[in-house]
Amino acid sequence: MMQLNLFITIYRKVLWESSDPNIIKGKNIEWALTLIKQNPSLYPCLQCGSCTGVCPIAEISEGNFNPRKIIQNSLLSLKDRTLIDKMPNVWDCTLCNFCDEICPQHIKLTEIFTFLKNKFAELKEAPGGFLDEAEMVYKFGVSIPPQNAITERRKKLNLPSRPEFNIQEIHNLMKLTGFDKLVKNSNSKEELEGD
Amino acid sequence: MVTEKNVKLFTGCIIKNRLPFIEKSARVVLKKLGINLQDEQFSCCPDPVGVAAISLDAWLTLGARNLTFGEKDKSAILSLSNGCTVSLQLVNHHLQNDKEKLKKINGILGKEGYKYKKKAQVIHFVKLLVKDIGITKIKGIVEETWLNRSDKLNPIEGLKVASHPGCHYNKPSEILKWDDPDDPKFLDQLIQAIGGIPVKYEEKTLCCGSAVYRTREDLGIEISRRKYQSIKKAGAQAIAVNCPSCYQTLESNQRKVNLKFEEEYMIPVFHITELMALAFGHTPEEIGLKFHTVGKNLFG
Repeated sequence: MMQLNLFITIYRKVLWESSDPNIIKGKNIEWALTLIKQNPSLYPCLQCGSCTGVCPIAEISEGNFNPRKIIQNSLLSLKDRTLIDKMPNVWDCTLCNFCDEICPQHIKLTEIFTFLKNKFAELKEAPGGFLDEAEMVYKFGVSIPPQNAITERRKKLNLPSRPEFNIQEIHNLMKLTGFDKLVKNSNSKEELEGD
Repeated sequence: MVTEKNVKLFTGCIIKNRLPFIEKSARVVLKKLGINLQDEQFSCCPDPVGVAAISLDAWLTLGARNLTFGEKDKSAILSLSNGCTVSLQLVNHHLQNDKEKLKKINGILGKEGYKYKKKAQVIHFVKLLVKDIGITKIKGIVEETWLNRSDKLNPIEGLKVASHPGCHYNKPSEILKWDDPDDPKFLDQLIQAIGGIPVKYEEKTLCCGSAVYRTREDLGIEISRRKYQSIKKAGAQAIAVNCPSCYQTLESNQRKVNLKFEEEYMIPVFHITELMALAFGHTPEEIGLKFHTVGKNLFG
């Protein structure tokens, strides 16, 4: 195992740094270390491209979306390329998990992508659709709030009414995780309820 | 066996607040199969796509709170949705295997009087049907239902159905450990058990595209289009899903594909519990088929 890790380190150093003109030698590797610490499965990537081979979005976008490159950017500590340039854009992933299934090194790509998305959210750069939904969950405790028309429909179908949770409880828990701060300053101009 | 436990129904937000007719068919089917369902104060699972993307801590916290309801009185949480199943099972997996995370999340939950003790069990309803109840029993009920009826036939008999098990039904496989990710069989077995003919089609394991649709409508529509092409080519009369998110996406994207590409897809989509309810003798009116938007009159 040790020898394999050593081989991967040398392989990577020789092959990648010499082939990519955008690599600046002696750059800050803090970003890579943060990601590896968060998800150690990231480290042994061989850049084989199997993930991109099975990715339906890679196929449909004709290579515009490329999971292999997102992992490459991560290991080469190219933070801006992921978070600012979005090349590729991690939000284009459809979360089908086929990359995780096929990866010969058992890298948990989808989990890593989720962590990257959290970073976008911290920078207030998450896409509007996601923030809107997060706001629903904070405001109502559900991603789709109840509507009168559906409540009527439930009655027509003779469905039992469902026990309701205490929304203040949800708000309190979410505040403790800092979720409320992440969904504020989204497109909604009104103040969130319950604050 | 899950059937020996108290089964707590987890419908998820989409079924509860948008597609209640799926809850109806699920309840009638599970009742017929002798499962006593209980309700709990579940919140959003929370959404493994939307909420986890914004904050992993928020996702773990709300998920853990839901799991605590599955810990009391020897119960199991039964999910009608792929998304909710994967969310709850992944949260469970993280908290079972990471002491620090569990401590952190329990620290937060403790402020509202909750504590997760790692005892919850989450099960996808297809697994309950196939593994705990069994195909034989389901087949038996269908046969019994139509044996002495001279007025009608089983509406599912001979129906060609394309199954779409979806991605979060069995992936990530190392955690969900259920059904083959490359060749899922169990939804097909259910279709067969109720009299239908599961059709083979190339893009069976292709994602419905619901997650990517949120940010890239164009890619989402294209993915759905490939599914429709493959399903139509295989000659299916209907699509069966086991997830309300897949249901929504595959039903509503047909109109968008038709508009964009000037093609004509009108393939009705059903949650498998709806087809089962019909095979168990319930009428389309009873289970609210009129609330579908594509092919709602397939069964009259």
